[in-house]
Amino acid sequence: MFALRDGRSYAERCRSTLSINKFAAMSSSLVALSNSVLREIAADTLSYLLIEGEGHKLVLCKVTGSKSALILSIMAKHEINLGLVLGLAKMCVKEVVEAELSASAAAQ
Amino acid sequence: MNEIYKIVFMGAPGSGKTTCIASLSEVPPISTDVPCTDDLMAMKDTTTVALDYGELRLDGDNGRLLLYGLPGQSRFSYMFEVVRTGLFGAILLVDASSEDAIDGLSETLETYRDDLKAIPIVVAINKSDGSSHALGLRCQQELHAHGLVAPVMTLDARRREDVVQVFEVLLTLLEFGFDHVKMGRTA
Repeated sequence: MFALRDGRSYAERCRSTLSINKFAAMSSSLVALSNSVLREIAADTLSYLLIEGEGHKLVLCKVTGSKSALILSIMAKHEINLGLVLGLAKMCVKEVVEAELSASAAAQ
Repeated sequence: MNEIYKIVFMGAPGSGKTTCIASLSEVPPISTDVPCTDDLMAMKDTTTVALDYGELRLDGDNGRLLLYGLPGQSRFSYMFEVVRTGLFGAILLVDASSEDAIDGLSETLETYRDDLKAIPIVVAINKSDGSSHALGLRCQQELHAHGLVAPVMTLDARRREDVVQVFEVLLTLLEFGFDHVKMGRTA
């Protein structure tokens, strides 16, 4: 799911029945809190946030380079390799940024 | 005695929650503001999406007051769960300069009605031009409509003494109006 950084859904593909609006708001809160924690304790900025449960893992990352201030949230089953999830996230981010650039070029 | 008390600032976006905490806190406040992407952009540049946090040492050796600010939009209502334990009271801010001031208060009361019935609350009208009497009455009506009773005051969220005065009213309510905080107290 892509969420706007202030917690509204932007685009999503979801198989489960979770509330997209709530997931978007929670994604925004988690990324903002993680940023604040990193800023306070290490003057650092967030690359990605990983939450692992017994059955699932959730990866959240900022979409850098996007004009729309987006967050990408990926929910995967626990057995899926983290590297694979992060790799797919990077590809996804790249495609979104390229699509935005193409759209703005076409509009000019 | 080194007890920790928690209060929460609530209210519509732009009502002054982050400003109140910045005015009161003795430590640099922690904020989780991000750029607005919706209609709020017309009113302000950023909005809180998780919480604001600050601290205040109470007089003598009476412990610390932890200050939390919740996001104004109801889509973030789950953040109340984060601050619920040990909550000592709530300050509900109303933006007097907004045409939707009462709608904002109504949405806050509707979203958190059950939680607000369990703790002392004070309604604080911010950004008033000095003629907020009618707005105060409408706030009282809105509180009554939601089965709540609370003092309604005016404050300038940028003035520390104003925020302290609201806090003192909250403290008085707790002392004389509530036997104890029903939601538990932080050790």
